[in-house]
Amino acid sequence: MTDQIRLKNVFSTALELPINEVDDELKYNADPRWDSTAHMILIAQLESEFDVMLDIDDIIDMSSFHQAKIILQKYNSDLSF
Amino acid sequence: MMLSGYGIELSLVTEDKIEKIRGWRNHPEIIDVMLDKNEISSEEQKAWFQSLKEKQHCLYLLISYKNEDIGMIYAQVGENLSLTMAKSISPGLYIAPDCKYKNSVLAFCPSLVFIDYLFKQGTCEELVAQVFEFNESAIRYNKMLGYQTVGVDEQGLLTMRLNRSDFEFAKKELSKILRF
Repeated sequence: MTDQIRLKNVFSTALELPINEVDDELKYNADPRWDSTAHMILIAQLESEFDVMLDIDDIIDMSSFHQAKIILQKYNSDLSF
Repeated sequence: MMLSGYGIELSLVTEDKIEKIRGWRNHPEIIDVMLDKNEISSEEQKAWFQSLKEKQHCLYLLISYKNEDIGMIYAQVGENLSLTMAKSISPGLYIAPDCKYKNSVLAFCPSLVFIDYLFKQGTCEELVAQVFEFNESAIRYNKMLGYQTVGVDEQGLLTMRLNRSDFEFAKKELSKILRF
């Protein structure tokens, strides 16, 4: 499974979205399903799936699917999205 | 009074902030989920602010993060009681509608600090929140804080209760992510 698919799966599960709705346009304050609880679940699942421990500033900055890719690559440059 | 933790600060409302707060409170997104749906006038807001000094039964604190005001958190009990003497307290919170953090994990931080304070400041044994059934986001939020639903009335208003041990468990879990 590619890193891109793994990331999409995490977003789809955490935000309860169909996987085909997970793309670079997905961001909080734009999708009603992305609320503070979904954000909390998302971060927990991202840390588990990609085996990283994110800094709190990065957690708060993770405001879109696109941003998630950039932040995760900061922690693991081997990830390819 | 100033409370702080999890990267945020909670401070007493000052007069220079009351129009900003009124703007948040009158925003359709906020009014929609409030029990009191009346729009607040400037005069009413001034009168509310003046009355705060004498009131022992409620507490309103401004939430700030990195020196930016991002919302309000408050608590109240019956007018004949004081917060310190009450066994049951009703809290509430709103994040500014235009705040970029409103749907982020940061929204949990003021509640963690404030609920901790409410359980420690007097004789409080439980918190009671009322949330409209349609406000799924607030219900999920409260459940993450340890609240349990105890009933719903005929108008679709859910009553949720939180005791100290459930809160402590939820705080421990949320703190695994909110690593300030």
